[in-house]
Amino acid sequence: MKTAERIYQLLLRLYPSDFRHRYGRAMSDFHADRLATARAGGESISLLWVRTVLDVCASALAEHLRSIFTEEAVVQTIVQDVGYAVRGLLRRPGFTAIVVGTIALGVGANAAIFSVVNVILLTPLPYPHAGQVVSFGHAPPQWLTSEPNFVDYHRELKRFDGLAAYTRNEVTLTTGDESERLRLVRASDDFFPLLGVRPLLGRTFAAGEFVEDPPQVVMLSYGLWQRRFGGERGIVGKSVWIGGIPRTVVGVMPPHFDFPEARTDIWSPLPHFRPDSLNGRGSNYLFMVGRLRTGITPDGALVEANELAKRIVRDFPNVYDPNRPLIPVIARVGDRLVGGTRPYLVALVGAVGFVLLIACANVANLLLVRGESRHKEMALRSALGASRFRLLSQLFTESSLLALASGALGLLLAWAGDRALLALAPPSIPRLDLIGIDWHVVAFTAVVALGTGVSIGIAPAWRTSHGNAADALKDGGRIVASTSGARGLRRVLVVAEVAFAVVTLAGAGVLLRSLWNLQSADLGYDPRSALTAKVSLPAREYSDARSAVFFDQLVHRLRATPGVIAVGASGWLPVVDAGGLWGFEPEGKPFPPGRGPSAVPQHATPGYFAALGLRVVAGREFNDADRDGAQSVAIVSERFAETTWPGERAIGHRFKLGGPSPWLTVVGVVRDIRSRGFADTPEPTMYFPYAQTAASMGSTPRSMAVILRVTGDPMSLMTNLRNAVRGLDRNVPLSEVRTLEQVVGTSVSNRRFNTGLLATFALLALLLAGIGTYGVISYGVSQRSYEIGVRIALGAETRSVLRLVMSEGVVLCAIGLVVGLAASVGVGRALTAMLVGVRAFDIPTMGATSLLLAMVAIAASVVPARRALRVSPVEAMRG
Amino acid sequence: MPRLRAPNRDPEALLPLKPIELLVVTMLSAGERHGYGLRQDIVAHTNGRIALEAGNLYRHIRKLQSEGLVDETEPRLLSDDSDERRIYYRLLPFGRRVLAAEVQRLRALMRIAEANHVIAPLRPAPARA
Repeated sequence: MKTAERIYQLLLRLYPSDFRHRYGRAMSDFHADRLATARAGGESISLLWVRTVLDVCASALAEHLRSIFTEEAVVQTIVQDVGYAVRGLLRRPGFTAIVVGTIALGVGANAAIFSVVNVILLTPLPYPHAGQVVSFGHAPPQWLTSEPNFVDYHRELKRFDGLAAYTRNEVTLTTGDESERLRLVRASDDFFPLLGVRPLLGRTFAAGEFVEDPPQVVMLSYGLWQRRFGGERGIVGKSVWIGGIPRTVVGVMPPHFDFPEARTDIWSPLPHFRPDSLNGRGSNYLFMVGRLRTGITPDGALVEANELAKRIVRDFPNVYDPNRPLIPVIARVGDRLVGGTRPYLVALVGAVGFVLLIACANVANLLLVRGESRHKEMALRSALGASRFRLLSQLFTESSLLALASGALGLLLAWAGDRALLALAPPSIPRLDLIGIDWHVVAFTAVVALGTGVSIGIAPAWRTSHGNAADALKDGGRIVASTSGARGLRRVLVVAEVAFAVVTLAGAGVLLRSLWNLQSADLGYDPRSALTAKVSLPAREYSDARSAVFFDQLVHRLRATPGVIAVGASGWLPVVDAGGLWGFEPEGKPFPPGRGPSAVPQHATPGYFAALGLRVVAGREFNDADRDGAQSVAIVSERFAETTWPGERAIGHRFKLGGPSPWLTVVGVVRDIRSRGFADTPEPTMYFPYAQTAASMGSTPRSMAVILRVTGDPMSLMTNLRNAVRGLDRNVPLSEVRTLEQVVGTSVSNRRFNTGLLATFALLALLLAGIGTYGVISYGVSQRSYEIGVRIALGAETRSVLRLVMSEGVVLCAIGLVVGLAASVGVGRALTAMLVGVRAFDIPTMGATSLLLAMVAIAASVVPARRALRVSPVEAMRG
Repeated sequence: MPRLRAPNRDPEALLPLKPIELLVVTMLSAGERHGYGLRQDIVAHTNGRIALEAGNLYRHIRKLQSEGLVDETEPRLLSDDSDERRIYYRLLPFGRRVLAAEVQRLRALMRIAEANHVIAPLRPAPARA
């Protein structure tokens, strides 16, 4: 009996306390009677207990719901709370604006960065099975694949559902009078099927179209179709002039499809390789893309590819050096695309997260202060019978309202931020065109805003609801110094904000230093005051000799232009299209085939070195005498000279390229250049006079980069350049006109952009933390004006009052600084991969951060301190 | 303490009563009952079809008490030869008025049903006053 009663007592605890107090006793009597009767009547006791438990659960739930819904109808409560909160917030427009603005900054920054992360990291690539699509290449020095190797891979690799080869070229599209350089991808037959993308219009290539050489058909990108053909649907089946021959458009790809690289304009078939005419195994010029079988990982595919590559190396000893084997590299296309951007995005997410945390701490502080001045109001309401739940729900309603308003404003800021981002972002960031505010971003913002609302509400709600009503009502009209608990909480919040700001600043600092280190690296040439453009001759009309004449004339014409100091042209521009390595053979130092030294080749006209600002350290520049038929000459870089003829004078030595190349006499040595940008290490480079390249290199490029070194603004000479080209041949297109600085900038543009963003957020964090510190100190002064007044009345010196006020801010900031510096060591480690010439814990950066923070701390304390000095003892004590 | 409403409220305002409320109030019209006694009465009246458990019953009692129909007594001895005490419930005058109004309402309904030959009249309907 006793046990049964105890169990029932426990069950009764499920009821709301008022119900239990009122009916608990009667109910247990009821239950006891019921049990006794049941026993007497032989009823099933276990069934009785089941009924009892069900009954208690159901009625307890009903009672709980009732106490929420009927006594204070929930909707009515909410309406009341919202109305109350809105009126309260509108009565203090300044307070409301500061709070909403602060959170909106934090939420907006997060939403903007999320909209970027959403597209770049979270949205799958625009083709089916994107996770199974991999790029397949080789470790250096091969990088790419040769025709025979591709045929072997394609035939033997069983872990691929499809494997395609492609090349990337440029061609000239001619419509009417206009010529434009386009990016062309020539792709083998598996290419479109394995990507699984349907064309927007027309079809992809048919089997028979991979036999014709040159191919007769092309597919257009959506962008090109819109830009050059006005989105005309009838384009399919029509002919366009590409590379001097008419080709039939068979299809248009959908928007956003730009495989393999952003801004691919056209695709054409890569004809089948005929086994009898395969290029050499050592001639690597094919990119590969494949789709893995379901369930196969890139690592799994790599095992199989490695086996085959080892066999190829073994089977062709005359091509491959066993010490420099063929090493396949397989990576998901998506990972490759975002690879370089990912760490920056993660860092940015961290930075905006910190900004939001700081904003939250600031607002929580403001609400705490406000809660304190409302302490009496709350105490009064509590004394009049408002439940704690009721008071809390009202406080949370207020903070949620603030958060919602901030969320809406934050979304607006994010939209504006996205526009600014898109305007400033370098095109090398993948899939920029997709970035915008979609429902993902809106949902994210809503969640962040609501989370913010709850978190900023917690501290003040806790403080308020734990207040002692009687105490609060007792202390008459004067506001005395706030309770030590609230003050402690506010100080903790300030220390936390300062620490977060320090971490963000330190992170941005080491990245800024890295950027600085990179940009101050000596490129070997002078990117300032130079204009560049690409000039492409139609291959069908220009022979090697005619091409040489054209560029000779162009250089001479431009040289006569006022404002031009030097003019030259070269096969490639540094950074944007530096070429691969070519093997060469120094005279008197024979190497087995395929194992000789290699260097980057460059075609150059007379004037090139002067135009690029590349200094000739020994010998001479190319001149007009270095033409076809004269002695074959070359100029080499310092590194080339040192590695080939160590300790000797390079001038006068001879070397030759593979094949039927004549012996080339070195006539000059120039400085090394970083041909791939700031992060590159200089490679040995060899230069050949353009007019001799038909003989020395076996081919003469039709497309050359012209470089003009000028006195004034480089872009002002654009028209002169255009006219000079047109004056020679109206049909020759001029493309990619930009300054050399812009060209060079592309190698660090991603980093510069991301670092700039990070630095912006770090400053925002610092600003918010400063405002937070100011708020706390300033409030402290207003609270202590009575005490300060007494001190002044008692003859306290200015200095001691100042010390009283300033020490608090300085101490709080100092603690935050120490905590932040300790934490930033960890953050620095996480950034290690992005650092250049800076250690994770960089003393100058930490020093600068500390200095900056000290300045902010002092600034945040000085204003309130000055106010403290103006406290009039009489006024303060009168209250 | 139960909240007592002013007795001069309009009983009609509380109509119709819920079936369980009507049962409880009707049983209490016979005299004071403790909770379990009420259950027994209702079980007997409904031939066991309505067998209330404590939670359900006291929810209704709470409602009737707060509306001022029913009141509780101090615990008192179950019977003279028992030392067990129980809280008893009794019908307040206002409760009796509400009960009367409710059964009047039911009577009117019954008349309609009789007139429509849904059920046979128990006895001839008295002439309307």
